[in-house]
Amino acid sequence: VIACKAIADAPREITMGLVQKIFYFHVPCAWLLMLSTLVCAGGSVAYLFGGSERGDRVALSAAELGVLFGLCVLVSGPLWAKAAWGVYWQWEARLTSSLLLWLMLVAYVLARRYGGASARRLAAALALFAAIDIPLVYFSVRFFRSIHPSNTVVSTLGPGMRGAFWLSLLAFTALWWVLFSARLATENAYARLVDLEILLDQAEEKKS
Amino acid sequence: MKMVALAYGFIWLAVFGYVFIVGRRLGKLNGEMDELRRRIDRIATSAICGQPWPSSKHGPTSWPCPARAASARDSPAHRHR
Repeated sequence: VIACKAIADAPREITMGLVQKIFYFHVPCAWLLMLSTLVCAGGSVAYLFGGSERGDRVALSAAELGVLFGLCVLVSGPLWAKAAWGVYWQWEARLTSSLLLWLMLVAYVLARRYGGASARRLAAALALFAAIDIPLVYFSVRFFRSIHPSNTVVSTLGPGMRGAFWLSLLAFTALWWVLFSARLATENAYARLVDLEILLDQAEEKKS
Repeated sequence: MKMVALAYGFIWLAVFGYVFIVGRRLGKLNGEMDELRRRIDRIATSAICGQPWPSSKHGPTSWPCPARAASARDSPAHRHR
């Protein structure tokens, strides 16, 4: 609520006007897309190389949030672009690599949902590929010719805008943490339930 | 203004949609836990059905059988377990 008020109270940018305020939630969503991908890749590494079931559950929970916040980036970005560039979409490096990252996370979630137990390792490998895309997304505006604003845009914000931006980033990160904890708790409870059902099946088999 | 409202509205819609999906999964999980609890109750009561109750001073004289398990749920024996 405080972040929403700070965004509303933040001064209007002279050139772009009100539409610049999309920046206050577009950038935090982009940060959360990258954070989710990193957490997903970390969990997948733990699962692939350490056999950690918990790592696998962490990866799945983070991947779902990556899909969610990635969708928010890919919707809020074009809405800003329509006002700034006159078009919703440009096939330039930052936008294309972000879309690619989001599609990889969608593929991860779909593989986990419909691929069965055998798809878990494949999905984990896909998460590592997605993590490789993060530097490409971040540095694309530096390495390629891009019409997307550069990474240094935050440091050029005015004092009133900067406070609202950091508050919004903090609020979105807190929201991510709450959603992630809730999702992971559900996944942990489900895993324990499945273990108990297997134990119970074994007990019933022994008895009969 | 329209673009800002659209972007802002979409983000909140997406977040609330996700919360709704997680809530539904939690509801399904609770249902499966209840089913598991019922299964455990059935197995536990059938395994010790008719056996003498360890302290017959306050509780029943024997463990309840599956048919009586539901009505015996509030019995001291069940509560003790």
